[in-house]
Amino acid sequence: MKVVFRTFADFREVIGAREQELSLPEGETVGGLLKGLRKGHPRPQEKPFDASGDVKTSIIILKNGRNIEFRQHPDTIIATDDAISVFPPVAGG
Amino acid sequence: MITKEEQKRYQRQILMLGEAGQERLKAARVLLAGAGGLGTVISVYLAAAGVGTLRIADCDSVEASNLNRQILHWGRDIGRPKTASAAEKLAALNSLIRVEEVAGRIDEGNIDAIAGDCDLIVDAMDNFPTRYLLNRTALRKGIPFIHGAVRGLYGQATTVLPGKTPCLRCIFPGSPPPEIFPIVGATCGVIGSIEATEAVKLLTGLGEPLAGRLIIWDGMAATADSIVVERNPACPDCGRSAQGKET
Repeated sequence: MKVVFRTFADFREVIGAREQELSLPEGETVGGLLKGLRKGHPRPQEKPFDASGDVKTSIIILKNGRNIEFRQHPDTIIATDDAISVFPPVAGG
Repeated sequence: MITKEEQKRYQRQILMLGEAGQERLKAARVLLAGAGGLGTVISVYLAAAGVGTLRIADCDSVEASNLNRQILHWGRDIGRPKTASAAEKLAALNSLIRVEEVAGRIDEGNIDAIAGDCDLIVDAMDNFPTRYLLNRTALRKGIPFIHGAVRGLYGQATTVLPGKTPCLRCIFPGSPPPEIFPIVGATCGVIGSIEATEAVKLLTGLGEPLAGRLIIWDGMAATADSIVVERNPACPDCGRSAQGKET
């Protein structure tokens, strides 16, 4: 299935693409998608990942514009034509 | 009623807003929460635009490390309350408006009094717990809430219209971990200017608000993206359960 994957800020620096269409197996989860990206990336220690190479739980992930609360729901299932947007928290003022 | 002095001062924006729009700015009361990197930028533009009453809340005093970005605080202000430092400069910029200082921490106990009769709340805070409090207050009062945040060369902004758009908690359900965040001052200029633009638009009815969309500014790549954001029916602040609590 095809999905649109959009990255912003730190994530874009690491992944190197603003928006890409990905082909994923049916039933893929958000957690699985991000794990796959980590494997495919030569520098998993970079900003969006923690010391063990996992995606930081503070990362913000929107599925079709709605926050999936990745900390609680990494097993959220992605469907065909979903748009997944990933960006780091920004809190300063 | 716009005076001759005001006609002259605001001439270039009256060309866009008309005198009626300028009168709406003059009659407006805005709560600006924070007088730091974002707050100093936002307050300059809202004061210059002639927003009649600017209520500025901040609990901190000026420190040397603020001066790379907090443009209303200068070397001689170190140690002064930020509200006093900002109010002094804003009064010098525009003596035709009223600047109200709230020197203290915003909390559950005082937010209703602080937000009082304001027409909108502008977020210039540096932490999400206080932002959630401002968000809930705006929802309860049914007034717009303009969110902005910055880090490094990145920033984000959105406008919350109660009952119509996702609230801040829908988009960001959990507080990011606290940190001493890196920041280049010009990022505050970008996001603060977006927030000030939103405030002027909402107060005058000009244009389309940044409602239901989150702008993400990437200063590293010099790009801006707009993501459509959706309401969360289970949002603790604006979802069904929250509405049940309010009634």
